[in-house]
Amino acid sequence: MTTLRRLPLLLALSLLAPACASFHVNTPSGFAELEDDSRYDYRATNADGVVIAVRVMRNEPEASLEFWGRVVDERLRRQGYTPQGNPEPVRSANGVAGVMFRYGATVGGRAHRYQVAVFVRGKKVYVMEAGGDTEVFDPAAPAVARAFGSFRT
Amino acid sequence: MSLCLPMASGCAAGSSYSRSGYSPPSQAYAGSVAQPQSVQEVSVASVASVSTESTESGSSGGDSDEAPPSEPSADAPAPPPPSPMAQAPARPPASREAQAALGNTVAHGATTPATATTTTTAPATARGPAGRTTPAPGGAANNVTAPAVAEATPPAPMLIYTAAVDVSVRRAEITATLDRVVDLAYSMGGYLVQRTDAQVQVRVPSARFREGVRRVEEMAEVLHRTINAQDVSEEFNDLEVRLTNLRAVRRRLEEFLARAANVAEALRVAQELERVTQEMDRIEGRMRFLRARATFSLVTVTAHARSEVVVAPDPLPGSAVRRPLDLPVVWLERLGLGRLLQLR
Repeated sequence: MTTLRRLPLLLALSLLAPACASFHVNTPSGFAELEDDSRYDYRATNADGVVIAVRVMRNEPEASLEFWGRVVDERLRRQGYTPQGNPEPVRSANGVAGVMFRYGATVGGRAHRYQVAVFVRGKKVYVMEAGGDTEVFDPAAPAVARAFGSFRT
Repeated sequence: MSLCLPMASGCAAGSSYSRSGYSPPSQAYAGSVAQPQSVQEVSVASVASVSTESTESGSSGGDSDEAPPSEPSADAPAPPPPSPMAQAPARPPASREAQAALGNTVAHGATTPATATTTTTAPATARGPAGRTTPAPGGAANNVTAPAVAEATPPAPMLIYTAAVDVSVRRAEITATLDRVVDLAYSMGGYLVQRTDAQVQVRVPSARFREGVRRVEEMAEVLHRTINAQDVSEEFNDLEVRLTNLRAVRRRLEEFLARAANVAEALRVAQELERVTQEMDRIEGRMRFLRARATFSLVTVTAHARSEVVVAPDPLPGSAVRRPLDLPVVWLERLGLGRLLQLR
C-alpha cells in the first residue's frame, strides 16, 4: 500500500528531474558545509572564517556572461571593493565558461579578500563567492581554488 | 555537495508549489491520522530558485511551544480547500487509546478550528471508525462525504507543515512587520512561538496554513520561501500499534499481579508493570507531540533589512558623472563579504 501511494510522487520526481538545475562543489578539506542555509544554495566555512558559497539565480533579464560579469564587477566596485588584477576567464569542471574577479576590501578596519566567479548557463546564473580576512584567506587560498576548480553546473 | 535546484517551471517535486502560488496543505490535518507515507518535501525559492529544507523533528512529548492557545476556536475558519485527500477516510479502526488521546487533544484545547468546523458540520465531515475527523472538500457545502467514499479512497497522511519565509523590508519597518505576523497568527487561531529582533516563529492551524503563508507573503517582498511537509503517518501508526500491544500486556500483568502467590513474585510483576506503564506514557507523549505538530503548522518569518535605494542624481549636462546601472535584481544587492561572512 505504501509503495503504491509513493508511486505518484516517485513518478513526478522522475519526470521533473531533468528540469532541475543542479551544481556540484567539492567541499575542500578543512571546510565544513553549512546545512539549512536559506541564503545560499551552498556555503562552507573553515575554522578561521574563510567562507565559500554558491548561489543560483534566474538569468533574468536573460543576458550573457559578459553582461552579468560586468554588472557584478560594477556593483562591487561601487560598494568599495578594490579590484586585484584583471577579470580572469575561467571554466567550470564541466566546461561552462565563466569569469572570476578578485577584490580587496576593508571590513571592520581589517583587510579582507573577496573573489567571485560568475557562470551563465541557459536560464541560470551561478555565482560562486569566497572571502575572508586576508590573514586567514591567503593560507586557505589553495583550498578555495580547489573548490572553485571542482565547481560544475 | 550536490544540489537539485527546484526551478520555477515546476521543479518543486511532489507539490504544486510554484512561483506564483502553491497549494500545500490541500488536506489540512486536524487531528486525523493516516497510513504511512514517505516524507514529502516542498521547497521553493522565489528569487534564488533554491531553498533548503528544514525538517522539524521534535523530541517526544514536550516542546515548550506545543501548547496551543486557549481560545483558538473563537475564530472559526473557512473550511479547507477542496482536495482529494480531504475525502480520505480517517483510517482503519483505531484503538481506544487513540480515541482517548484525541479526546485529550480536545480537552487541552488543541482542537484546530478545522476540527471544530468539521465537528459542527457533520454532513461535510468524513468521520472514520476511530472517530477522527477529516475535513471534507468544500466544507459544509459539500455533503458528498458518504462512508462509501471514505472506504474507497486512501487514508489521509498525517503531515507536519513548516514554512520559512524570508522577506525584505525597510530597516525601520522590521519590527512592525513582525508585529503584523504575530497579529496574523493570533487572528487565525494560532500563537507566538518565538521572537527575536529580526525573526518571528508562529504556529497557525494547519487548516489555515496556506492562507497564513499567503498573507505573510503579502506583507512584504519575499526573498525566499521554503515549505516542508513531513509525513509522520508511519511513526504515528507504529506508536498506536505499540500502545495497543502494551495495553494488552499491562492488562495481563495486572492479572498476574492479582494472582501473585507471594510478595517476591508480586514485586517482580509490579516492576514489569511499572516499566510497561512508563513506556506507554512515553508513547502517548510522542503521539500527543505529533498530533500537536500536525495540528498547528510552524511559520518562520525572517525580516531582512532592505538596502536603501540611493538614486544617483541626474548628471548635469556636460558632466562627466555617469549614472550607474541599477538593475532591479535583488541578488546583486546581496553580493559581497557582509552577507557571505555572516554565518548565523
